[in-house]
Amino acid sequence: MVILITSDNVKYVVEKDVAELSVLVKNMLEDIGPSDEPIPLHNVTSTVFNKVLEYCIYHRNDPPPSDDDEGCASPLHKYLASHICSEWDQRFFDVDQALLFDIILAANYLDIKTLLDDACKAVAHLIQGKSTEEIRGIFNIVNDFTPEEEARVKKENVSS
Amino acid sequence: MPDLPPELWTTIFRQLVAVDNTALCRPRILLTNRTWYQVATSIYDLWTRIEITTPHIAQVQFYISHSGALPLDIHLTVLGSMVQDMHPVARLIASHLHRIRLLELHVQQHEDAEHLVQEIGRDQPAPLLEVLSISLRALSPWVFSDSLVYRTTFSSAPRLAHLILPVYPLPRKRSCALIHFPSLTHLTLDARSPFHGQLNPEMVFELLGALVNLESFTFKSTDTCSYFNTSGFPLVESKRLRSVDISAPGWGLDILARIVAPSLQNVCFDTRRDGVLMWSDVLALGISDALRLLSERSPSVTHVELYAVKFSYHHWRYPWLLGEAFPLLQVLKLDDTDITDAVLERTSQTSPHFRRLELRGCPGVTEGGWLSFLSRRDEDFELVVDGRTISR
Repeated sequence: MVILITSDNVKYVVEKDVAELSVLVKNMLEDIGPSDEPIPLHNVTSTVFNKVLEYCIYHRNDPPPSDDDEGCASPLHKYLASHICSEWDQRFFDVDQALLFDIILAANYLDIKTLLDDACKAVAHLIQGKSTEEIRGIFNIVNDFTPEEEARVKKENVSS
Repeated sequence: MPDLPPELWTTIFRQLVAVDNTALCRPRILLTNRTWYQVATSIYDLWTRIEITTPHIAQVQFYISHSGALPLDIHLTVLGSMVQDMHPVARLIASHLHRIRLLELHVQQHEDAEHLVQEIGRDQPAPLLEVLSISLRALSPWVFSDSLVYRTTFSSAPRLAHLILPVYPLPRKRSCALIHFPSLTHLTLDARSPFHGQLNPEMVFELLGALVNLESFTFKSTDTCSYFNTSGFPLVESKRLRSVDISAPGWGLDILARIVAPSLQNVCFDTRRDGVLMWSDVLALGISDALRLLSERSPSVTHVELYAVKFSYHHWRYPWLLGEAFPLLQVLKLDDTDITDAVLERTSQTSPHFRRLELRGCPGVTEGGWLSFLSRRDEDFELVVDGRTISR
């Protein structure tokens, strides 16, 4: 078992194979060797870690992710990778936007690639098919283009 | 705006274009705000899939200039009279031929395809090209000189593996360098609309014979025309062919009956037809003959998929198919076929390797029939009915 402590001082006793889905934790465990010392997770609160832990327990037996879904992977590979998402995952990511972005930040900090990819996929689904105005509305983004800049971007990128 | 570092927006944008590859997706990202614009334009692989539907060259330039040196997938749709306006875009694409991985042309008629392939290829090397796909919207009113079809393409394309072509007109062995590229392993011929009846089967056989390293062949057709007696056609030896995906209505059956492919492993045969095209006993006999010939010539077949197939003498044809037809058969998938409970009951012996039967939309098979069949199989045998795995 591994003891993890979140930034708000909540202690978790987690099975080693689950904890080691985080590359950060795995590396720390390798560095400190056999020890009962708790591992601090400075950038993750217990609210967010509860979700991370739920994900890691559910996916503990998944095959490890491959590296070739980055960069030059074929369009078909990217398409399949993006569509393989279970009902469980869909329910898991059906959370409010703030928590979803906190999960992304936690996954990035803890270095859990599959959780990061799946959470980013969930955000991508929020954007999918939306107009620019709708996207700005969803994320509360202010349009900081000047009218001239906006016209130039449109001219370069929108077929006439 | 959510406070994420740029690398996380990068991951999100990559996921987004993977699920939403429409022409509007990327401009919407760019137009959101300056931060998104800067992040998006720094991700090279966001701009490698270029979908061109108008002569608007600025957009193509933008994509190319932001794609770094990565391979490009070009999807060019030129319909109506627009081909005349496409010269600047075609020339721009041609200047990046060395980076093109996929070139898909959807054009009005053959002359347009010929023109664009010539202008983009210019008999120059295409070192990264893996897929060349051409589709036509309408038949040309002209008759083409065989020797001029796709005569000027690329001087070399060492990675070109998949050729997707309309079934008419086809390149000829003696005049088209393209079909002699040894890297070509996959051929798809599209004989669907608008090619009703416009097909010269001898040219298909010539093309199949010319592709000496062919591993998979797909032939899609919708028309009714079929000889069913193909003894006048040449036999085509295809030593490396592993997979065929054939549709009949149309000429698929005739082609299947003339292929000699000793290494063939996967056979997909689809006879689904729309309401106008009726089934006939002649077609049922043709299918039986084609499968008999396959059984004799291709002893390595392991996977068979049959869609909407009706057999003559189905009461003994199915037991033959499951038992002796293909000694290495592992998987049989039957979709909307005339297999029945009685046929399953008569099937006493199957290939020793047979491990999976999939049935979908086969009204002649009931629960009693499939459970009885399953009870006579080994423990690890898989039976799937209408998408549901059946347990004992």
